[in-house]
Amino acid sequence: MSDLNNIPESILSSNNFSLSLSGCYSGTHVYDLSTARCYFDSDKFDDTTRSNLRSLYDYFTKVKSPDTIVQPTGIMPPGVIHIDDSLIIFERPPSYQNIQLIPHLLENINYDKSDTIIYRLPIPWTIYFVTYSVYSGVHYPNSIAMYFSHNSLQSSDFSSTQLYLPPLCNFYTNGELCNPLFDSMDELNRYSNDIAGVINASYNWIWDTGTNVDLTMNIAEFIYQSRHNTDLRDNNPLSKVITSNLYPTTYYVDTSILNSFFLSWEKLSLQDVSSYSWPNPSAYKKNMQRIGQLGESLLHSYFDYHGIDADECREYNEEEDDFYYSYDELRYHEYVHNTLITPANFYDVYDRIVASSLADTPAFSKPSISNVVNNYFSSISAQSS
Amino acid sequence: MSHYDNRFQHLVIDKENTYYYTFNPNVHYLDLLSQHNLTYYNYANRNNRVFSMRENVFSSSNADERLNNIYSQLIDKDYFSSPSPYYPPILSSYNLESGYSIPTSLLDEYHNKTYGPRKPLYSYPIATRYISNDGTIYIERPPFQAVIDFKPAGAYSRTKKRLTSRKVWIPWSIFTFNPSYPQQSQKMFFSHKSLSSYEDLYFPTFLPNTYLDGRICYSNSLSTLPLDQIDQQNISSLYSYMINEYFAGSWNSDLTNPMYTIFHSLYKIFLKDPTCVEKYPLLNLIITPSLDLLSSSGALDYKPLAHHASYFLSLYENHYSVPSNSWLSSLDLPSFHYYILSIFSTFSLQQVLDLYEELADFYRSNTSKSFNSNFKSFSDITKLDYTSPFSGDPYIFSERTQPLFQSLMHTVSQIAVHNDTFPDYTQTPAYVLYINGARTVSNSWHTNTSVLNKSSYVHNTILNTICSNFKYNTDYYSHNLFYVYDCLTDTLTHIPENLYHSQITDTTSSYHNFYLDLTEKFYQNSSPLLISDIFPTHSSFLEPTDV
Repeated sequence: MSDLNNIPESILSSNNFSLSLSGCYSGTHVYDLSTARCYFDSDKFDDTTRSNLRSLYDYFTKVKSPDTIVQPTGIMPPGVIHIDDSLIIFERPPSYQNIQLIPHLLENINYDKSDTIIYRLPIPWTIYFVTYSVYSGVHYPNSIAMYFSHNSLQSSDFSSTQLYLPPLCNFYTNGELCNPLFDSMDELNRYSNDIAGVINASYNWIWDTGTNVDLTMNIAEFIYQSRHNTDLRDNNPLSKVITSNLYPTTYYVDTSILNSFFLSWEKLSLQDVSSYSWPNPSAYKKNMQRIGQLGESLLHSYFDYHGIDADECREYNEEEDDFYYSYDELRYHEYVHNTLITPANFYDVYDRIVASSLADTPAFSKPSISNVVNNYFSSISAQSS
Repeated sequence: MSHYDNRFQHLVIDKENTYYYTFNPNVHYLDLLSQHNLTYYNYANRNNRVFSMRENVFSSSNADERLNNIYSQLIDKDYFSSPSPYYPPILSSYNLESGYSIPTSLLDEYHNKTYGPRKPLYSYPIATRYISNDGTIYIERPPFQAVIDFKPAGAYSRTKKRLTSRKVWIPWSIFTFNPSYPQQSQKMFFSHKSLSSYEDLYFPTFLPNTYLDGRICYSNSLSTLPLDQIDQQNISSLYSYMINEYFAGSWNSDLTNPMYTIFHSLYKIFLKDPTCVEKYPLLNLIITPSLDLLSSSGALDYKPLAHHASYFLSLYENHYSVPSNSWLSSLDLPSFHYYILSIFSTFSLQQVLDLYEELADFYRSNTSKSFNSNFKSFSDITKLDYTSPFSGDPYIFSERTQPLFQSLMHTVSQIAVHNDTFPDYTQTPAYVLYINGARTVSNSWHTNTSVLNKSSYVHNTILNTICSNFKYNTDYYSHNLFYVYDCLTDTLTHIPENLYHSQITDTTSSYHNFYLDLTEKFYQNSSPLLISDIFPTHSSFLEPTDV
């Protein structure tokens, strides 16, 4: 039997509560929850009855109408696109945002010493995907993802809107924010305990909590994709400004490159910024898949060359619940570099992987909200099952 | 709704299973639905004549009428001279039909599947600012200009007066509606600014075909809302249709302009407090406009308006005694619409916003009761639209829960069918013998069956108890559904099968005889009947239940 969390225990155990509907079948088909209504007329409608009825009502509301919002949303900012019981999508128009960059890794930050650099960046249309939960009646944002867009989602068709990866720190390469750290959950008390509160918290966590240089992978993606993504290369002036020998195996971008990147970005006009293209949010995943496949292929080639039984090298990592190969890494690298790929063309191989990933459709050439939303739903479904 | 056509649906949920039954009253109260030979109502008069009424049932399609007809034939005048304060026993039979039975875990699985993100098919309208938990949507719109072509007459008037066109600025507005009720429930409110807090004040519009409480009168125009073409989840499309339908035209003077009440009240307050003139110049401008303004706005083009305006305003301008009632109160509906729209057509956007800001300031400074009803904070507006079904008002409870529970059985049956579970529709007879109901002297059927009209709560509780005690078992066909309800003690006693079978078998004559014996006992004395009188054997084992 599944975990019956939502039907009141008092109903399940007592079996005394039942819904009695009197329906006039021959006439107007008027239904009336007679029993409960009559509870109102008597003194039997106590808090327990009210609570039971409320629980049952909410329970069957979800069964019947999954899209029903159970409590008022609160006053939301304009731009809300979609709400359901675990996901909110909203957008904001182009605006200037101050990025407060502390040019250090988190572990090296000296909060007594202020060397924060502020960049005032023109930001295009932004679209936010926020998953949230309600625990003990309190709304909590879970994951927050943000993407750039050419225009308002409300003025366009869902399936045709292109979403782009924001080349900012604090974001992962799928567009998700690395949530800020707070000393306590009191941070949430600043916001109303409703959908509006989740929206405001999410927005503020992106733009008002400062940033360090722990996560610079999206700027790296911008640089990698500039070499192969014609849409990005031709439609964003920043792609010509930032050149680097950065290769796909490196996702840490030096602060000098970051500074140069953001200073150049500051010079873009707010009017034009929404017309520019930005990195593809789906490319990283595909790259990693292919790089992983390449690595696997190289490893097996090494095993074959040296007559090593691959199965004997497989070991189980209990902590990660996954298998890995145990082998002599030095010998492996010697093999790879001496036999298969020379240092000169090593990076070229990876570059070609990136290029082929970027060239694939539909993952790249027209990154669409449906792709992103599909990915989102599948990951959330996986979490909840 | 007549009680006598009722069929009861009954849902029982416990940890193991969810059961769905239907109670069909075969003989409900005095009504006869003679589907079987067993199903007849037994009524005994003082002479112990038992009537079995069948054909008479169908002489009228109205159940109450049928019952009254039956009753008038049955009534025995001697009964009313009887000393017994109680009503003769009534034996009602029911047909308990089993519906779906599913494991409750299945219900819960279905419930759990509804959680999780759903792919958005449509977006909300731009600037959706609030959604209440009954689904009412509040959409904000920034200021814009609208051309108001209105007929200075009622909708169906064949006036030859020309349509009047005025271009006005519409301030910040909130439009609300509930997509579940797309042909009703629309409202619109104005403000001088964008919504930022629950304390922000909202006011009625100054437009025709709106009410003081914000409702919009579409007349029948929304009846042509193409619901077959617009998905009711596509709230943007619904909203577009509704807002365009309103601003597309066809205004008339059917309704009082909402501003009428407001300015009429303001006049009196301004009269008492002359400082208001300086504090609220735009409001004052509307209350006591100059003749020049009236002329330049085109208001005087409307002759009925011109006539009134000239007279009253000359009194005011020449400092003659100022009337205690605003000159506006003398205007008829078309004239007032004409006036307000003409004046507003001369206002810039800033002036319109300032005017609503003055209204807000005025309200905050003057909280007189008579004025309060014209203004609502956003918090008040949302409360108006939504009241929790569990707030304590039984009417609200019924209204809010009806749509859900109406489909409840269907939902359970869908889950069952989806899991290849089908009901057997087994029918089990159930009987309730009502004893010791207090009688009245009226000849009316309704009054005299007070034992069964005691309250629907009692009656439903009886059926609930019967149903809750009954567990459908395909291997066991039970006749074990015989209950006695004692109106005097409000107790329901289940009579075990072996006990009532000692007196009643499944034959018509058996029930006849049982009933005859019972009514004989009833007429023999004026004391209340006891169960031991009805079932003398082993009745000490019986445990009545409080209802």
